[in-house]
Amino acid sequence: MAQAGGDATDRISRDGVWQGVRASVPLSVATAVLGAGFGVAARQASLSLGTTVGMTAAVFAGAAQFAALTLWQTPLPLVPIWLSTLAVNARFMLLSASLESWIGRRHGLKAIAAMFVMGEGTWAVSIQARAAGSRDFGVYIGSGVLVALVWVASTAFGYLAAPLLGDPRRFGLDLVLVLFFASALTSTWRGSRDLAPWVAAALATRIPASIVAPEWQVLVAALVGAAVGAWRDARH
Amino acid sequence: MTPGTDDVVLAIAGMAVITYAVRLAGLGLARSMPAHPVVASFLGHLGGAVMVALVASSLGRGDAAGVAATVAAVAIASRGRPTLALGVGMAVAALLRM
Repeated sequence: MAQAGGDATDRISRDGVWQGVRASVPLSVATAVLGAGFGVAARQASLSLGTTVGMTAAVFAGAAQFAALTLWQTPLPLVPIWLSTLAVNARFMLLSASLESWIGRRHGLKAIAAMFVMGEGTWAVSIQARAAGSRDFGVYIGSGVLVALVWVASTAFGYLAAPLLGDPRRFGLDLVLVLFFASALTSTWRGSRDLAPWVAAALATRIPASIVAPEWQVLVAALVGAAVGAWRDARH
Repeated sequence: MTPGTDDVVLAIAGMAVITYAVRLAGLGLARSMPAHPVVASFLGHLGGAVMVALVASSLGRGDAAGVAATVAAVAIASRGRPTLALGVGMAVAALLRM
């Protein structure tokens, strides 16, 4: 899908990096709230500060990290945690695939390294810059680095501030994850083709725990929903 | 009781490797052949389905404040204000829990 010249970025400039940083200010606010929420939730789930910051810096994928917290117990269910990470993050494949046609082969190694900070926010900023005619990969880098710094710093802040906040439920902080996903769903909605898979996924979370253990509930429901969606698409 | 250090390191290392591999796989995928349409369609539905499942699973626990907060957040986010949606959702839950 990569084209020679044409659509691919031409350079990485300081101006581009700054453009990416400026375009990512609203995104950083949302990231900071979510990061602080993750820090609080991680402390509630009895993770240490080192484990919390380590996970945030190494994984760098909010949804998968929150999902892992819901499975965090002794002993750690490693395989369910990994499978849930795979299921929650499988969508990244589509995001990076769509960026590839922009990046092209020009910045091969840099592109591979830059994939580490690829998330919805930076992806969206990059796609918007591309739509506006930018050919500067610095936009992606500026956005990705800013979001990464905010994400790690706000997670540590949330963890450390958790005792001052008292019960996080008082501020609805325990709902940040649900609210984030519910909000994200409004921009994920692609019209009527999403109706059947979404209803199927929601209903599948009602399968009794005697059939699907709680730690597999979300994964099974997601696979049911995606399967219904693929089946529906194949028929149309 | 907290999990052993070895398990924690293993869990996070696995999560990190899987997440980075998925990001890279997208680049590789786009550079090789386009995926089978059914596979592409399945993957295309997976992200939304995961999010719906997470929301439905959390709201299924019968927390009325959580449901009200989510409804408020969705209403605002659907008008293109995702950051505001988070704040208002949390405020709704905080008020109902006072």
